[in-house]
Amino acid sequence: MNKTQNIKPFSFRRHTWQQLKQNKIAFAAIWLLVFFVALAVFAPWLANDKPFYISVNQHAYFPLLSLKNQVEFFDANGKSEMMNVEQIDWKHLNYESAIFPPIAYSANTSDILNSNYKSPNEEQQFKNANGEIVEMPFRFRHFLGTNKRGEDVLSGLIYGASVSLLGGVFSMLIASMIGIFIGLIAGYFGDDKIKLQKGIVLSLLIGLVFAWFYAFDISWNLLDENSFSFFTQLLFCGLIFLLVLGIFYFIGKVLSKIAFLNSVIPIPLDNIISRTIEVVVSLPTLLLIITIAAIAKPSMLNLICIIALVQWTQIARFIRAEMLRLRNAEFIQAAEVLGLKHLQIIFRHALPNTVAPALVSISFGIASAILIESSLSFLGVGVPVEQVTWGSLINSGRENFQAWWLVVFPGLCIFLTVLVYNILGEALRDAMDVKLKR
Amino acid sequence: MLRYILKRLLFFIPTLIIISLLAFVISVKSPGNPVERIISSTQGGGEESATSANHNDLVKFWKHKLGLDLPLFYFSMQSSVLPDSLQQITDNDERKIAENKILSNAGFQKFIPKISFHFHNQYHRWLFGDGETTKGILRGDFGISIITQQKIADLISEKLPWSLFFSLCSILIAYLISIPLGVFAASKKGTRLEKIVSILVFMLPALPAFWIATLLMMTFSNPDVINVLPSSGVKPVEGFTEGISWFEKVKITLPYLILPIICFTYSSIAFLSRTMRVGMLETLSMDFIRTARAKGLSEKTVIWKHAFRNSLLPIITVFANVFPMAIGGSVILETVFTLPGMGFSIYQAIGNHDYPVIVAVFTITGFLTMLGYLVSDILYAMVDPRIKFEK
Amino acid sequence: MKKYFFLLPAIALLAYSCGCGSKKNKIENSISNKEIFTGANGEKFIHNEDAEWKESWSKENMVVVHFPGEPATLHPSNGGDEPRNIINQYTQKYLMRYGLEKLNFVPDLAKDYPTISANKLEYTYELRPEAKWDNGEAITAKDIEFTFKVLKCPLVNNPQSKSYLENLKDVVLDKSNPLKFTLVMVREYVQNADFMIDYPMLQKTFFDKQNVLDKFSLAQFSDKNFKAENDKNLSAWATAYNDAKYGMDVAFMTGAGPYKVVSWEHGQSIILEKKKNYWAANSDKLDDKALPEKIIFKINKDPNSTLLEFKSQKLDVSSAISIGQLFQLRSDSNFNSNYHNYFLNTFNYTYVALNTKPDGVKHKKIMTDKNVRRALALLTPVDDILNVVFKGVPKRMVSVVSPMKKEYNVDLSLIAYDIEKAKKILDDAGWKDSDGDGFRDKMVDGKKVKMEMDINILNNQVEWKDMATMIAESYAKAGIKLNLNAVELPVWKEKCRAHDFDLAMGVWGGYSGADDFSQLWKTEAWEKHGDNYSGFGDANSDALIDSCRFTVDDTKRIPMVKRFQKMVYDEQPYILLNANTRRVVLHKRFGNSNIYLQKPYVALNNLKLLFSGGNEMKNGVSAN
Repeated sequence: MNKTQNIKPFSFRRHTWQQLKQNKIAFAAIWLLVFFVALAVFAPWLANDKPFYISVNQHAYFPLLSLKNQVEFFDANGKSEMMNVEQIDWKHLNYESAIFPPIAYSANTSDILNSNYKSPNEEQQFKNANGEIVEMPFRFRHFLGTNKRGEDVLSGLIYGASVSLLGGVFSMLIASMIGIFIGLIAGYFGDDKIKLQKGIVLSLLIGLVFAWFYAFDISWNLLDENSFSFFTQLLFCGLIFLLVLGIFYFIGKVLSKIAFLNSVIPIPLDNIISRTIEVVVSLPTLLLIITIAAIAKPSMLNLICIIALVQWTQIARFIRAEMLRLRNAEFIQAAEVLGLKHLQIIFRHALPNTVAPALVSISFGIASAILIESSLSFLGVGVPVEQVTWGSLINSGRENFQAWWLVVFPGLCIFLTVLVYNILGEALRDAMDVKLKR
Repeated sequence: MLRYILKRLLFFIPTLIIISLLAFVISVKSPGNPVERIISSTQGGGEESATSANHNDLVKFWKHKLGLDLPLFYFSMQSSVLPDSLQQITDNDERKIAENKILSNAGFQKFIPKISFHFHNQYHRWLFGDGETTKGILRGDFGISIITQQKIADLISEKLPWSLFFSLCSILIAYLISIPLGVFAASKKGTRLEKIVSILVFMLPALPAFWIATLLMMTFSNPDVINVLPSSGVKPVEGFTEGISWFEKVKITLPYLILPIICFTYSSIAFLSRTMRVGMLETLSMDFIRTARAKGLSEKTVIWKHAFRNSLLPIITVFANVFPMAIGGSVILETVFTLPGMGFSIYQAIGNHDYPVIVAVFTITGFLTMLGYLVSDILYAMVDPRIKFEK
Repeated sequence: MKKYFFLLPAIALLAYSCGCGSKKNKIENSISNKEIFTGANGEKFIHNEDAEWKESWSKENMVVVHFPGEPATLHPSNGGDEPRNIINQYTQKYLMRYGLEKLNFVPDLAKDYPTISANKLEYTYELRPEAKWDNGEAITAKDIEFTFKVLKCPLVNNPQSKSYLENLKDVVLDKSNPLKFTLVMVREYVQNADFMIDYPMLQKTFFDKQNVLDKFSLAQFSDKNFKAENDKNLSAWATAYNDAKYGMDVAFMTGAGPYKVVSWEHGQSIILEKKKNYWAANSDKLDDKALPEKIIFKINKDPNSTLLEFKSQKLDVSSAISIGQLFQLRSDSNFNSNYHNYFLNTFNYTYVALNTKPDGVKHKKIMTDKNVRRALALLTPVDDILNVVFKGVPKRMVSVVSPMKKEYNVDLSLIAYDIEKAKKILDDAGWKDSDGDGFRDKMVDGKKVKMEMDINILNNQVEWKDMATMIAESYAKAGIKLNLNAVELPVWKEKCRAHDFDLAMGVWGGYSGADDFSQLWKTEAWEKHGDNYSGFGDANSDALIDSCRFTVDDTKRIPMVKRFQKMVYDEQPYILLNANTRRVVLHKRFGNSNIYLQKPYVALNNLKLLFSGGNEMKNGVSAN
């Protein structure tokens, strides 16, 4: 490795990647993650009631592959009828041959015969084409058991992967972007590094009121909540808010030409941010989510948004604490002396050094996001009722404690996810840390 | 230092006002209102039975009585085309429909804001009381719950000690376990033992608290398995026998607390010990540790004397979160073990839109959190002398 | 190799959990509903023989009752939740009460049934002469008058009860007899005596020491133009009376019942203790009995924890555990030998309300046609739902009147699940899948409307979610999209009243007395945003409802009620699902362990500890 470094000029990114490649566990973790993502993406083809191919009464159908919803279905007498593919009970037809997906159940279809918590190793029943009740053929077994209504747990896990995995990741992604940015700024600038002219400060303060009015009163009402999600509403109104503030910034610049508004005053940025974080943190997370969820319509996107809105503070706190410590470190002071720009110092020099402890926080945040979602489905708010998630599966285990498969398998999935992110986070940290290897 | 603390304490006031306002706005703006709950005889399970016919009159009467028909705050800003009389419509949906109707008909005028002032408003009522039953928060009265008519101060003084007890106990135990665990994981990084411990630690937060709670319960208070610990409540149901000593009481109560405390604790161990481990690793890679090692100091001295103190920073950060966790985070465990904590009552208050309770609790949590933050910031300064407060 | 370490603890956990799972026994699905005992005088309840005493049973003469939630308050007039009503049964006295044994009205504080005047508007009662308050004062007609004044006072926080009392015009005291008085009604009404069962009597000298209410009359309180808040004295009294301490602080709780609340630890337990030297200690009436020394209401919200407490015999009585829990408990032989347990049919029923008069904007005009509503009913797999969600215990409901009542119309037949028939009805009604998206549609008022609807359910009811999911699945098979919308209780109620729903699942809490259909089914209740959510009714049905209400003669009334049931059946404003079942569990260490068919199902005050060694001294106070 030293050789390559001697030949090529040192690149931080390449160095990191090389370090990461050497870490076998981290690589295994990446593969596991890829596997989960694949599960999430290919869920409709991995677990579905509809077969890829089926031949009934000498006619072949491709329900899962065709794009049309309707199919001309021939009965034994050769008569045909337009039928909806969703409404045909393919498994129980008298078919000649068929190729079903690996798990022949969608997430939300109940199997009445196997309702009331069938365990994975219990005898399961199947109604064949003649209407007789026989033992479940191996092909159609519920491999990980069923829940109260006879829904397939494995299928639920596969469909839940997309929500839990992506939901957890995205909410933490948003949260960590907000958190890292705000934490860095607060820690770096502190209470005295940013100085603004009085005119601008004054103008911004007035602008805040107007911005609030235009963004969250006028625009919020303009967007009909039935057709726009909470997320789009928030994003749009946030943009308007910033826009109005921007306008007032320029007004303030003009105002500052006036003599008595000309002097500069330090902006206690750290104080403002810390207090804001305090406000957000002191509202109990779960309760805050419950109250917001009562306003926003239950949907996955809204949920991601809500979780992100309450989770960023944790990360911001960490980053700020680290930044406070680094502010006095030699290399930052050296960079300042060299006359580098603030943003350059923050993002090129401080960021890689502060993110390490946050990575742990983020990877646990993903787990807690998944679990928050599970406690929300326990309380029945925020999560759409029909949506199967790892959290909702675990919750259905609450009703019947003996149905261990409803908790252990989703729990295992959450555990693996947390583990994977943690290993990756740590590996990334090790790889980015130039000091350790020297 | 003292000046800094005083300054911070002064900062509490605006923050608390913001928190209480925020809680106010959120709870009032959310759909549904408490009047529906007090005038209908509907049970929690949705079972309805005979009620009143003149429902609309009743709603009006109670909204007026509870002050819910007042404006929210001292001033409000709205589009200049909207008449003030709209504020009188207390039904959120109805008002919104009326507003939208006017707004959609108005021209550019609707973009001109108008500020109107209200002296009698709900926030004022909360601050100064309604003159009859409540005296207002400024005179130390949190008000009364709309649903149960109980004094909120009573409700809180009854339940907060338990919540604090459980969270402080659990955080203490969690720190006692996870700090050595983190240090161990950092100093023995890469060994097989460390990996096994890490994985075990990771498993903990992946399993939901209610499940662990039920598992423990099914194991330790089940006549079919082991029946040594009680499964619900915090003391014997018939109460203590009279004239029993303080020590005896503790002895009787202790078994009731073991399972809940385990459940309150286990999930934070993973996070804390990982944080500690990372902090430790960070510090161990610093120059002064190398110097210390080079000086020939023993590994024990290096770790406990030099690195330990420096790596405590991130873990102190977590301390501030104890209080909001204490109040909000235990709805589920309180339900499972039937604990007399705050969580469940607040959850109920939110479900019933019991505004006074929600606002009071959010404000108190806010206060406690800020206190926690102050403590953690002071601890920062004590641990890391490089952080200075007075400039 | 390192990767295997990941799996080790997981496997260990799995193995442990498997161990838990394997203990699951095959559950007996038979429901042993014991014959209902019918006594010579018309008693109707389930009678249990005394069990043989077992050494392992607790010898404490106290009953521990399981409560899944606690009352909001125990205030004697302000409040209305079920836990409060149950506790009041033992701590308070009523004028008349609902008799558990014969399911009829029985005098409680009243000496006998009232004498009714010829015009059926004046009910004259006489109080029991021995009746006394806690401080030894006799209970007189003045207390009764005071009670009704309090209940009708506009400033008292009892909105739940105000409307019931609208029919009460005046209380006239008898000048010669301080125990005699007459209640004057506004009009003849089928529930003119029944309304009394909800209101405990209040002690005048305790709640109104300054005699503030003496200056006011019932007529004033009935007058809508009377401004009560203008009177300072009355306001001050009302504020004091509404104080939470009368419902929370045991020092301020009083009542004429045989028990007294001695402690209330919020979220934990409520303890009642038997009063010493109770005035009715020697009475034979069921409501006056006080056999257990203590009645403890223990709050336990968690199903698994409750299960364990029953297994370890820490709880004696419950009428709130779920069907699944009782089945789980029944698989334990210890439980069966320690507890009596029953499933009981109740007068409550679960329904899905259909919005028959939608606004056409937010809610599409889909269910305006009664044939479409019938099709939806045909598509609802009620039997499957009951089997899967409730293990087949509850009975299906056909009519809005319980089959246990004499008014029940036996001619109505069940609407069986029939997907083909439903499809045909929908096709005939013009709902066809014209665009091939899998869901039916139709041109309504010039616009294409997709057959997509929401069903409102409560977010805290797991079973409702299961039921609604199964209905939605079944509808999808016929090309109807049904989305689940879980909301909080206040929101659910608001939406229903504002007609802001397509379908809404709900439970109606009926009782065994004569029904008044006006609240649920009159058109007025729809127009005024009352409880007629679906918009059922026309002038005809309104007239019929009124005649049912104001006819007291059963021979004329019952045929009318039957006709009304047929009307609702044909119009299909509701899809009726099931009559709800109560699960009652009672420890065998008590005698007199009858299970009644009406709330609270077990007369806790009449439970006699069967253990007879050395406890006589303690029990000496009571006559038994």
